[in-house]
Amino acid sequence: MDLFVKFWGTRGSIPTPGEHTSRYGGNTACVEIRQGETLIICDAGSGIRELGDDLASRSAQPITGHLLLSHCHWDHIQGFPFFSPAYQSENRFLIHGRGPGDDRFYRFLSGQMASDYFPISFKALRADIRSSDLAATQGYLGKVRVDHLTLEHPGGCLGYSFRLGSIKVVYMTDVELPFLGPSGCADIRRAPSDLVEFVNGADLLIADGQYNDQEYLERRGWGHSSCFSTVDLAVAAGVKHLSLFHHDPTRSDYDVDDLIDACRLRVSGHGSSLIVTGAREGVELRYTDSEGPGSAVGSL
Amino acid sequence: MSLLSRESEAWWRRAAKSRVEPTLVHLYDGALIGQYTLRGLEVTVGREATSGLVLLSSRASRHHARFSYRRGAWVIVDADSRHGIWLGPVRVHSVSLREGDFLQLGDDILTYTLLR
Repeated sequence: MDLFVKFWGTRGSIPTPGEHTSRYGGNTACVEIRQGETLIICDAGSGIRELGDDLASRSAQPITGHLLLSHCHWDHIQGFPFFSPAYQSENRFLIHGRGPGDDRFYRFLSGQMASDYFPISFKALRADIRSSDLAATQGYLGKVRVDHLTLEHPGGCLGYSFRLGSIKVVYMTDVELPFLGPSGCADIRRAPSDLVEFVNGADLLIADGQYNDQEYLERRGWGHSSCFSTVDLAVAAGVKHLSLFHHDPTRSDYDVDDLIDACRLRVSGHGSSLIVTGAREGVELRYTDSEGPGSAVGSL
Repeated sequence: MSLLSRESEAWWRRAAKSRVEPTLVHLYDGALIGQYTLRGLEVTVGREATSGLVLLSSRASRHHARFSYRRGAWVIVDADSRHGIWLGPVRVHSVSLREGDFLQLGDDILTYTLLR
C-alpha cells in the first residue's frame, strides 16, 4: 500500500507570487495526503485552489475528501472559497473538528464566506459539506490512522500524524518551539517530550521552520519556530526526512536555499543522517508500506 | 506615454513567450549527451530504445518516467521505476519542474532549463 504526499502550498502568512518565489512556491498552506481512494487535505490556504483544479482533471468520478485544518488563521483557510470541487453537487467533503460536537473549523470556513468578506455565500457551494470529527471513524480515515496534538500557537493549532502500517507522516505547521538550550551546533536543544513522542520515528515531518534564530528572538510569541529548533526536534525524535514548511513571506528561493544549507550544517554537526529539505509546491512523495496491509476501520 | 501600441505590446509578449523552449540537458558519466526540447503533451523516458528520451545507465528502468504537460507546466512522474527520480537528496514520485532543476534517474542526470 502506498501513501502519497503532495505539496500545493508551502508559504507562511500571505501568498507571495513572483519570480523570486517560483521554485518553493508562493501559495499558502495546503498539503494533499492520499491513500487509495482516501483523500485528506491538510489546510485550505491558497494552494487548495490548484489542488481543486487538479482533482477535477484527474477523473470524472465524484470527489470525496477529508479536510483537516491546523487552525483558522487566514493563511490556512483563505483558499477554500476558490476550491472548485466545493461547487459541484456530486462531491462530498467532511471538515473534521477536534472531537464530537466541535464544529469550530466548519464555522470558520463558512464564516469567511459571509457577504462582508466574500461575494458568494457558503450556502451556494453545491457539494455536500459537513462537519465531522475523527472520533466518528475511530481515528481512521480509510486505512490511515490519524492522531492529533495541540501545538503552541496564538489561538491554538493542531498537528496531525498519519500512519499507514509502518509509514508515519507528520504535519506540524505553525508551532512555536521553545528556545531551550544551546545555540551551537554541537548540542541539541531540548524539545517538549510530547512533541518528541508525537513525531518520533516519522518518515516525513512537515514542520514550521519560518525563522532563523535571530528572527525568532525578535518575534517571540508570534507562534513560529527557528528552523534550528525544528531541526533539533527532528534529530532528537529520529525523524528520517524533515521538510521545512511555512516559509517566511520575505524569503526568496535563494534565501530558503541558504536556510536549508545552514540546517544541513547543523544536522552534520549533530552527527545525524536526517535529511532536510524545503517544502516545495508541486513535489509529490510516495511511501510504500513494507509491512503489508494495515487495518481498515471506518470509512467516509 | 507607451512607445508601443497595446496591440504591438501584446504581439511582442506572445513572440517572446513563444521563443522559450523547455529543454532537458542530458548528462551521463560526466559527459554531455545532448539537449532535448520538450514538445507535445507527453514524453517518455527510459532505457527502452523507443523512449522519447533514452537513458544510458544500467540503473535506469526500461520505462522509467514520463514528462507530461499539465496546466501550463512540465511535470515528471515516476513510472514505477526501480531506482526512482531523485531531486537533490529526496526520491520524488512526481515534481512540477522549475528552471534549474537537477534530476537523477539511475545514473543519468537531466537538468531542466528554459532556453530563450
